[in-house]
Amino acid sequence: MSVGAPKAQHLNAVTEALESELALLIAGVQRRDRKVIGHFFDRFEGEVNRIVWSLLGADPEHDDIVHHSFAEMIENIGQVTRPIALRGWVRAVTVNQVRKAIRGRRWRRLFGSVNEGLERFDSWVPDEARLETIRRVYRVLDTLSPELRTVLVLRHLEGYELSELAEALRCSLATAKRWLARAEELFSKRHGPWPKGSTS
Amino acid sequence: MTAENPFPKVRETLGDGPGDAHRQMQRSRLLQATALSPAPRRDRRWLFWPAMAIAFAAVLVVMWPKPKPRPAGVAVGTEFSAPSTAPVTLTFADESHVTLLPGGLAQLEASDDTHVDVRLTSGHLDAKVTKHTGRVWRYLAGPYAVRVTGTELSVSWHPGLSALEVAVQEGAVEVTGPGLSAPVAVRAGERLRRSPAVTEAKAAPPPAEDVPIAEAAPATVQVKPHVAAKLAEAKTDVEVTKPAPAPPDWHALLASGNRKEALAAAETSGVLTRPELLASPELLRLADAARIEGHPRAENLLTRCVARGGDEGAEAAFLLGKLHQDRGEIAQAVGAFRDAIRLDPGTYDELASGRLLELLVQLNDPSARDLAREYLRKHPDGPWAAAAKKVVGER
Repeated sequence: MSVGAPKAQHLNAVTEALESELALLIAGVQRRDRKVIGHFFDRFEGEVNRIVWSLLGADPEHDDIVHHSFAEMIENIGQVTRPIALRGWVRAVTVNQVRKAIRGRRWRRLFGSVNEGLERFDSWVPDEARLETIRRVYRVLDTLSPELRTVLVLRHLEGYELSELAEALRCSLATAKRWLARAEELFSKRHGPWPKGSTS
Repeated sequence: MTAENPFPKVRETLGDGPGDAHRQMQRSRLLQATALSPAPRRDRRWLFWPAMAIAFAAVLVVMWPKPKPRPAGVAVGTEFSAPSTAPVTLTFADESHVTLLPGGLAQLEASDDTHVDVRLTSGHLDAKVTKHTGRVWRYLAGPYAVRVTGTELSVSWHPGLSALEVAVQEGAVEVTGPGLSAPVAVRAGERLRRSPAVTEAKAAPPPAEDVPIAEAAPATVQVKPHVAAKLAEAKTDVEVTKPAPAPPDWHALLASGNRKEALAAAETSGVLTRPELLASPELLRLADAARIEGHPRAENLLTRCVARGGDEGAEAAFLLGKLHQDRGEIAQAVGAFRDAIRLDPGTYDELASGRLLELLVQLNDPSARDLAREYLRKHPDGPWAAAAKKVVGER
């Protein structure tokens, strides 16, 4: 007799119910049913907003990037072949949109057409100490490549596990682990020595 | 000296994101954009004869005199603006409509039997123009004019950067303006973007009046080759993205999540039968795609990757274990999970040990009890802790 069989049956039933609900959501979005698209937005906007907010730090183009993320999801939702993977796919699409935005800025920054923009925190962070902390962190994050910035923020601000990082970045676990180690090393050098044991 | 970890404070300061008003605006904007974009096509061949009857009726309708396309109560010269939280839609008597997205500013400059001119002062508008009315619509943005006779399109104009973007969903439009020696046709599915060079943008003066500046134009631009050629002739700073090359690249297909197509392209290029040509990270990604799609080469590719060792080898071993487990090949799965733990104990000790425990119990292997004790010692709150406790307590 296999250990844990009753628990496995229960989990299977829960998973099946969730899977069929997600399949209906996917089908409705594909049909461009506006009511279902509204539900889709309501279901995932919290996560999408949080990812963009954390990765870019309350950026002026935040709403644009959220909109483009959802627009891409609606356009390409037919790619989701396993409904249970929808949440991971939503994260991956959002992360990809943010990475594109970061890459574009890094390119334009070479020509001096984008300023640092850290003063965007000034109006809503009242505490001087927190303001200095957040500006210092995002100043360093701005120096990292999109991939290193993404793994660092998703891991340390959003608490993603390694497997979740790999899924969001559409890379292997080994690559995510390597990027994270490199990101932490660079962050330590540019911000200050990093507390040990954070990769486990 | 080790500095304090700044991330908890940043997390607390940032909060969860923008406020409710922003989220409502995002929702409205998305639904509005969805209303103007077509749903995927379906097979409509059964509609042929009804469509012919409708077409005949449409000919009669076209011949019928049309009312002037002016929204009720809107005089020529009227300016209209959309607030920052919601779009504004104008519907004309001939069912054409113009939707100004939040923050946009526009003006009805002309309207009579032969033409309609709408000036987009700043921001973004989506428009649908009823066909076969005999009227020409023009959307004016700065020095540019977008000429339309019956189509769905979007126009964005950022006056501070002199940046124009035109996207056509249905029909075709013509764009004229400075630097374009001849009208440029933009057809359904195409976009045109026009902006001066970056250095010129730096020197551009700020807007003279305090008008709401709409969101920046989207980053993705695609222009078909014939448009690219005309723009190149004009010798202006126009951003053009050319279509991807025809032969499918399995790397790009895999990166965009198209696993089936990526595997087909990899098979055509020969790498599936020559994995030694691939670096370990590439081999791992291809092998995992093959595993998910049930491709017959999956086991071979994963095994090759395991043999190379390292982080990729460890992950390949874990995935190979899952492959065997899904097939019911218990003994092979046990071997693969053990390889994963051996190659990278830091990452796979918890992930693989739990699965290993399950399999050893199925095999009635006596080493299951020792593994269960070890699991509980290292991962007392892990996902398989309950199962491990049962194993230890059973005997």
